[in-house]
Amino acid sequence: MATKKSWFPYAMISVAVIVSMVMNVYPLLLAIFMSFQNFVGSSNHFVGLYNYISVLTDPTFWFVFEVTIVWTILVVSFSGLLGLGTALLLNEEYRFRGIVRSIIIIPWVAPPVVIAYIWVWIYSAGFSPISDFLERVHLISGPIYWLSDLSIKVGPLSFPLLSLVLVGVWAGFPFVAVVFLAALQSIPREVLDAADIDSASSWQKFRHITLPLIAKVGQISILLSTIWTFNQFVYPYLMTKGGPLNFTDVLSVFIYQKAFTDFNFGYATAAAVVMTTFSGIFVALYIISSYRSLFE
Amino acid sequence: MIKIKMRKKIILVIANTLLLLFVLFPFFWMFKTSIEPTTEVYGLPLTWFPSQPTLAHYAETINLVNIPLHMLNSLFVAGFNTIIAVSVTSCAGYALGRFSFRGNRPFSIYLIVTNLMPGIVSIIPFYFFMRDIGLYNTYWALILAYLFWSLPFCTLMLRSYFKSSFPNEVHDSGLVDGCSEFSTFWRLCVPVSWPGIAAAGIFSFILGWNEFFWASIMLTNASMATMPLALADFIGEMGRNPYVAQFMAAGVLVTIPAIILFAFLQKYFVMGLTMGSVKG
Repeated sequence: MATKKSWFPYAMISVAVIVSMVMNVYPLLLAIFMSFQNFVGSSNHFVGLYNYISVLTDPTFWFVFEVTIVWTILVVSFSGLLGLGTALLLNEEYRFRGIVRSIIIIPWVAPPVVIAYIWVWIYSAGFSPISDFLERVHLISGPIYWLSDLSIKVGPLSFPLLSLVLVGVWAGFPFVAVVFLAALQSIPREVLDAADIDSASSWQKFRHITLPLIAKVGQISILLSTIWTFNQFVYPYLMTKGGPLNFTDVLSVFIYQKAFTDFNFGYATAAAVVMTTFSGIFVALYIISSYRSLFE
Repeated sequence: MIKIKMRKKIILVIANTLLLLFVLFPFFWMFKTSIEPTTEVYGLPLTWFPSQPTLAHYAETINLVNIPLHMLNSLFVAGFNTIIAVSVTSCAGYALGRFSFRGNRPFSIYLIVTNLMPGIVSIIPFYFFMRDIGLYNTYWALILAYLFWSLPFCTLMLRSYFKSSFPNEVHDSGLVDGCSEFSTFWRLCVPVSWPGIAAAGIFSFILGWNEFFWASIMLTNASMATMPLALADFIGEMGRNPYVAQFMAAGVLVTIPAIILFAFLQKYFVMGLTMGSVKG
């Protein structure tokens, strides 16, 4: 790396720094400032920790928090597994794998608005192709209320949430697959060939060679996936608006509604700060994990 | 030996088929709904293949949603965002990847942290901020907001990319030959690194094209709405909505540019994306 002291690098990053300060630092400070005010509608006055107390003693907030955690765990694990499986599949050499690899990334580039409503339609009670298929093979006999059926639930886990999780996995696994595939393809052939010579089985090769070599990348991408999923807004908001009865309410949606439907900006910003603090733990973990690969 | 190979082939075929079905099914359903007559959209039992395909819904949807206008709006916002984002992040990524200076590490960490903060914590004050400085309901608010999103991701991606595409030796030889620092960047690094820069550009464009969250808060003027906003307004409440087929037609029209753009450039996209995550 060039180490000559010059103004050049500073000049090059200057615009980025200024934009960042304006777009990140200032809003964050403003959010913290607002969280100490009783800011409802357009009137605001300083109230100290009042908002934080309201947030932390609000059972709805904690329920939404639990829903978000369940949502995150489910989406990250399933998209991680599916992504890894897909990567392993695409790592094999066969004729159409280039095309397949291109196609699976499509969920990641399609507009979320469109995706959300396609899935809402697929999940509609009367016109769902999934229900139709299940009925035709005689697994069910009546309509399924994919997005509103609360008859089966365990704590924050509910059927509508599972329906949303499927969408989250569908949209999220391509990223994991692409990252894992790149990692798999960087494993040197000689190592696997040597294992073949020693007559290792596929499972042994996977467990003792492949897995350790992609563990680091896996860890980093899982952390990244966790953070993104935890922060997710579009799909839950557009598909169910957090309903029914907060069972698909993730923190971003809940805070959004507190701010722009109830106009309770004080509460909303306090909740947002709490949320950011919690996700900050994972951000710190991510930085620690990826520190070496970032800064060598 | 042959038996094992046969078995593997069968597994591959099945796995690929299932995967493709899973990924493409929603798109198939969207497309199918957009070309079947209304009676079949709401008809029971469900038709999986339209018996009389029709393009009527595409015409109808243009009456219901001013698609050309909103497409143009989206194009403008996405295009502008791409140009600005690519310029700013290339410079910043280059500086971070090429030089070790005192602010390098802190700024990189800062970028990561801000990239991973929940959007909701920034959007509320940003909303007030834009109102205060009179940029509310203008495209500037959106362009700034999207820069907020693309900046961290693209800068970090390009930083890794430049490290591997533009070795120190080339940089130093450029200086020896009398280039200024900026010329070295502009005339030596950029031409060699254009796959990565293209990847950053594609990412920024797709972000601007698809984005909904910030646009929904920053724009209330209906004639300025981007496609995602227009579609979200259009549909209102699903299920009880008589315009499902038209929405699907609009959806097809909006998704196709993103897919086409992506299809042409996906090689660079994937390359740019993974360059940084995996040390090869």
